[in-house]
Amino acid sequence: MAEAPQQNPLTVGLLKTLLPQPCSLVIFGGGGDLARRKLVPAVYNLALDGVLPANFAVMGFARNDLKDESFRAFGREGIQKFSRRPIDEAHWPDFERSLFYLSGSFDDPSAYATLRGRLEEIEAAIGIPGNRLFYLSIPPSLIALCVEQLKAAGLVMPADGPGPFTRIIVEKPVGRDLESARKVNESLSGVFDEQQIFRIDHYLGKETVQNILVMRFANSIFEPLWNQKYIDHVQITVSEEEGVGTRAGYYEEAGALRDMVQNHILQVLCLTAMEPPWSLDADVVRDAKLEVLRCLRPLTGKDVEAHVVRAQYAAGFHRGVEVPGYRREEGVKSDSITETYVAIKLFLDNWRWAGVPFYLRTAKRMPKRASEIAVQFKDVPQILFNTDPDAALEASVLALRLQPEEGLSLRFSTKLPGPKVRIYPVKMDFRYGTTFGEASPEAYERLLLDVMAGDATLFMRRDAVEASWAWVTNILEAWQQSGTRWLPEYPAGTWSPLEAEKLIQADNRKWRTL
Amino acid sequence: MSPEALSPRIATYPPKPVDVAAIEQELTLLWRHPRVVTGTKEPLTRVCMSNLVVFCSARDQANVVMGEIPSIVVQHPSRVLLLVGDANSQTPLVEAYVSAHYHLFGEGEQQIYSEHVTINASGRATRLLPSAVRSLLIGDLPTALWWATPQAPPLGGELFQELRAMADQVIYDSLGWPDAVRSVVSTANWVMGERSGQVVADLAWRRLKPWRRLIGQSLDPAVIPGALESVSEVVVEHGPHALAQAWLLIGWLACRLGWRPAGGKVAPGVEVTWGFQSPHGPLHVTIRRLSEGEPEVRSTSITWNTGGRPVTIRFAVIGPGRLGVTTEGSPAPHRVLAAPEQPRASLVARQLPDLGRDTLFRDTLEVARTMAEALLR
Repeated sequence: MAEAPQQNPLTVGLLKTLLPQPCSLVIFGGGGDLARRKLVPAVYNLALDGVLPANFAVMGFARNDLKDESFRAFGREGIQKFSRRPIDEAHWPDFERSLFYLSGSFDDPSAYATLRGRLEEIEAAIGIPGNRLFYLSIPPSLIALCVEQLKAAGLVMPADGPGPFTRIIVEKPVGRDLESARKVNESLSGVFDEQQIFRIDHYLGKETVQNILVMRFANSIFEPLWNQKYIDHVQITVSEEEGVGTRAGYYEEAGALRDMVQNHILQVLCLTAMEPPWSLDADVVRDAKLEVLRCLRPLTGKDVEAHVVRAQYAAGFHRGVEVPGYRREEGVKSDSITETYVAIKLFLDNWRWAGVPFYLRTAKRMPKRASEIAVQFKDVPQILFNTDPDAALEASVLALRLQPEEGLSLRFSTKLPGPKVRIYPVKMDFRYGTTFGEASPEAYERLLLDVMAGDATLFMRRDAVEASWAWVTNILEAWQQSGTRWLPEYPAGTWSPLEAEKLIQADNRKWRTL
Repeated sequence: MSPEALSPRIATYPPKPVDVAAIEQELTLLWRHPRVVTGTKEPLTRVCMSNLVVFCSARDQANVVMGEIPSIVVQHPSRVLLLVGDANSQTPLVEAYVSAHYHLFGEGEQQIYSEHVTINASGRATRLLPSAVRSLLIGDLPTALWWATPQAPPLGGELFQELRAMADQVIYDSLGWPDAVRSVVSTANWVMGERSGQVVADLAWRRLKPWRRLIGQSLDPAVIPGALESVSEVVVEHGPHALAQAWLLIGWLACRLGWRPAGGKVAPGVEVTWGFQSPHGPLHVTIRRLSEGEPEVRSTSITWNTGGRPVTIRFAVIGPGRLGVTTEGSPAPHRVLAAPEQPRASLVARQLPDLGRDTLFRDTLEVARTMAEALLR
């Protein structure tokens, strides 16, 4: 039996996440875009906040021909452009001393042997007892290769041993369908224990996504209403203003369903619909989320046709500027049938949500960037103030905005001043930024700290990834079988294709205007 | 009148003298006619997360607080009631002012607005302050009393007790206490006797958080096995008027590591030495006052034994926002870490939403009281 780690009495009363042990962060793909835009700036901000371990090192590892010095310059440039805080010249020399780089090919065993030697040398100098995080910022096709090489080079410590820890961080997407996701997971679990694997979805690191649980379970007024008795339907929207931009290569292979629904949106759905977990332990929360995925009514064959709309943006105007249609974007095939819009009507077959439709939609080239969960409550009976069918009362709506202006609003009806009884919908609005003032840390900052502290709550477990892929793969297969060569279109800068309007209007409901 | 610009994003409306009885009415007028106040067209949102009652015993203290309030309400919008009570004055006088602080949010799309009331009272009129506060508190919101004077709260007598009774939390700062011994003993007695569930927060304790985190991480059993069980000496150096904070740091180590004060040389002076008894043997604690520098803990050295030889790790402020770590007798290198500077306004703003009772602080204060009482004997 493994020896229990010795407790540290001095850390009592301090947040565990802010007390990571000394460790090295090795970024596979350290010369890439994610490292430059997100990872190095995130580590830098954590350093400025004084919450990194006292002994810490970052090692970039990739094919790019960089040295320590040029990696530091690369990191500095990324921080200057993308960090939420500018470079602090007083601290920069201290920080850059913790940045290192090793150039090597992911399929070259000798590169891993060199990596091990270099890490041991740096760790001895800095005082890191061999704790390591490997961040795989690489294409999914290389994951199996890298983890095998890590193991062969002796860079993976057992999960339950008394020695230093090894953890691996895997970027989404984990696979591109159920089968490939299983393969990736198999290759990971062949080398690492599940508790060492952190499948990252940066969406879950956003403050407001985390707040969904707080809002639901820290207030007694919402939970009693959070069920099929009082809720008419739920809409989850993630809209993007941008077109495909420079990501056509990736997006052509992915599409909106894989890019957004399989991970971000289904995770948000889980947080919105899950039962109260009995504790906040990582696995208890993740079990509760998994139950939601298991309750998803499968969409297959004709159901897909009836409940799912996919579309592509056509040429249009975005904030007054003419923009091309998807098929005219650079790197996109002229006969592409990759969807840039998906709308789905789904049901959760459990007691709480029986008969309550969830409408999901996500798209590129929408009029504005916005993400929200809107819970629409059932209408009041058609008596008293709701007797006139031509002037039906607006339903009460609780909307949780995830971006851009994180917050919560409640629409309800009130009487207009005057002798006549006239009802008018008003909105009570709470905005995080307005109330709390402070800028939230970037999602990657929070998530990196969680990995250092070994807290997997905000990361996706294997069974959840595969459950969501199982549901999504049904849709993908139905699309493939349909043989469609043309998708409905919506003009860039508009909210939806006609088909999506019909999807919701058929239920006597409408999409929310954000 | 246009607001005075404090920064590109923060502005304060100049205080308007009002009758104490008309304060609420004047605040409502500010809100109803916002354009008259701000001179801009952006929508105005009044935000209030707390009632913040601030007490100062002199005008010069209040002037400092006035400069801090805008940055506090940016982080934690509150209705601020600033009380300036000079009980020693012979002339009974009460005067009140209403004001407001604004900051722009979201690319100038919205103005956020917090109300600010100042009440100056002197002589016997200071007794009126609690009743004025009582009528101005917004219901259903937490109320914090920030005791912003260099006097320990319990030494504030009846006025403190009356204001305290309205508050969900009391915030004070033991940095700068002129009589640390008496202040620590009286404050600890009050906190230990407190049974109402009220939150008590010492900003000096909050300032120690980066120190606690760094010391806890550096001596973690997973990093240096056995260090915490074999500590033989601790030396804390502090700037002027930071003795109470140094006691808190030692108090924290003592209550977490099971050390008990065991007497020793406790004559007051620049350097004071205590003996402690740990579960593993005796150890010495020295607290040394530096003649100059910032009034806070400046360095901490901890010595333990490993393989029969002593190893000392030293944490020291080496510049603004920078902590240096050196280990003597070990191959580990010198390291420099960021320790974000903690202005008082920022500490208050961070403390305001913190409504959980800090039992560790209470335990720590108890040890600090024991150390202070040793000097009284």
